[in-house]
Formats: sequence, structure tokens, C-alpha cells
Amino acid sequence: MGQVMSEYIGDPATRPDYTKSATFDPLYGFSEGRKERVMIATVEEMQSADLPQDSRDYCAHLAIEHRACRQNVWPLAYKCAHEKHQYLNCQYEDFVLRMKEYERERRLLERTERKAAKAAREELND
Amino acid sequence: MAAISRGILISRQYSGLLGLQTTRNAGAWNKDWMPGPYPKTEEERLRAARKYGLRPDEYKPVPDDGLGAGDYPDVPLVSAESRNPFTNWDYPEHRRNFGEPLHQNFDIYGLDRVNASQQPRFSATHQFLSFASVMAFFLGTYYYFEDRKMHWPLQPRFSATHQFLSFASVMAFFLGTYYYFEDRKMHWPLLPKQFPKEGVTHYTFEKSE
Repeated sequence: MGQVMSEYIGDPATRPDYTKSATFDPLYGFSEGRKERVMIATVEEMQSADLPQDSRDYCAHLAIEHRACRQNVWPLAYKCAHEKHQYLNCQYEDFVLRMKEYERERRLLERTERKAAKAAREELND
Repeated sequence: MAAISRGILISRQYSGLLGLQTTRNAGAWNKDWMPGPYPKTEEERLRAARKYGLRPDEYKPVPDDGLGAGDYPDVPLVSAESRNPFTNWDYPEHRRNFGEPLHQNFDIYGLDRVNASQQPRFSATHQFLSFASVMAFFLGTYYYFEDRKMHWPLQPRFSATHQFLSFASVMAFFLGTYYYFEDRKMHWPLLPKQFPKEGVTHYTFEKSE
């Protein structure tokens, strides 16, 4: 409900477009830089494992391990609990990262608006 | 395999006699079977008549219009299907007797093919008129009674306008809400998922080393 309040009933100008990726420079405001995301599974490995397109993200290496474990122990799939949790934890962190990106975008948009309002006020004062 | 080829060879010998076409003998054409040129002299006519097994008085070559029938006799076109099925034909599946001259294109006038000499019970015009009149009757009665329908002796509970407006407003409500919310959908506060791509770097929120 808070999402609806802020986005549709509140100010739509500071609402990031959730269908598009970040519009601001990713390194803007990070004085100490940002660590890059590393893709561990190679394209050949993913192709060899027949991984579906949706799963070929930055957690693909764990997806492949989990699938391999399942294939080995099937039908005793409970034995792959460790690999499964590894994969799901990776997905959770990816989810949190996406939320942080959204929040960063939103705050930068609000800042842009504040700066524009300040500039307009100063223009009036001049 | 050997049995199959032997069977084909044997059936080829019989294919002319029994009318069974297990194999086609298109490759066994003989140049002597080609019709000769259009007969001009009386002697040529007699020779041609003898060749086709016809008496000189009943032999009449196909008229020479330059299209190459040569001295082939002008056989009247009677399809196999039009011939009497109850006579004692020598070749019943062709409805033909021994020695009867074949029409030039006799292969398409067989029992299972074109019946070019049939006398339809009803002409094409008659058939079309029957169809058209039946359709006219159905369509005519339908449209005639569109304004003369049976009904109970009641006023409608809701007038036609009222009914239409109810329908239109309900539809407007559904379509309106649907399209109104197309750009206002609820969603999680997330940016799209980041997939690794050539030439694109993605970052975490940790400090770089």
C-alpha cells in the first residue's frame, strides 16, 4: 500500500520506471568506487547444462551445481538442501541488490527535483 | 527383394491383358506405335484402316488441323462410365470389346476418371436455380420474420434503450478500469533483473578493492 501511495497518489515525478534499468551513472556518488559483479559460469558451461534463459544470471554457477546435485541423487532430492540454499541465498542477495538500485534511483530523482526547485527559486530571487 | 522384382516383371506381362497396372510401361514405347502422317492418297487410307483394324468405309482419320493426330481414327468420345454396364464386355473394367479402337485420350475417360459424355439428369442451370431458390426461401423467411417475432403480451421490463445503456455502462466500466490501470500496475520496488551482457558492467554496493 505504501508503494501505491508514494507512486500513484504521491508524486509521479520521483517515481523510477520499474521496467527500465537505472538512468543515473552507476558510479555517481561513490567516492570509493563500486565492486563489479562477476559472472562465474561461462557461456559454454551454461549452454552445456542447457540452462534456461531466465536462469542465466549472476547466480548461474550455483544453479548449475544445484541441478547437477539433483540429477545425481534423484529421487532423494532432500539431499541437495545445501546447494539449494546456496542458490536461493544468491537469488535473495540479487533481489536485495535490485531493491537498493531502485531506492538509489528514487533518491537521485528526488535530489534532482530538489535541485531543480532550488534553481527555480534562485532564479526568482535574482 | 528378389521376389518383389520378379513379381513386377510378371505383372508387367499381364498388365495389358487384365487391366491391372501394378507398374506403368511408359518406358516400353515402340516407335512403330506412333501414328503415321495424315493419309492423302487412297492407298494410304486403306493401309491406315488396316493398321487400326477398321473397315475402309468406317475408317475416318482425325481432321488435319495441323495439331498432329496424323492418321489416327476419329473415335467417338464415349467415356467408360457412360457405356452400358450390363452388356457382356470383353474387358468389363474398361467397358470395351476386343479390337475396338481406343480414343486418343482414352486413359482419362476410364471408369475412375472423367465422364465427358454423361447426360446429367439436371442441367447445370437447373441445379444452380434449385440451390438459389432454396437459399432464397431460407433467407427470405428469416428476414421477413425478423420484425414479426412471437412474443408474450407484455411490455418489456426494461426498455431497449435502458438495456443498451446498462450493457454499455458495464462494458465501459470494465474496459475503463482495465486500460486505466495498464500504466498504474502494482509492483515491487525493484529495478529489472540484471543479466550479464557483453560490454555491460553491473555493480554491487560494496566498495571496490
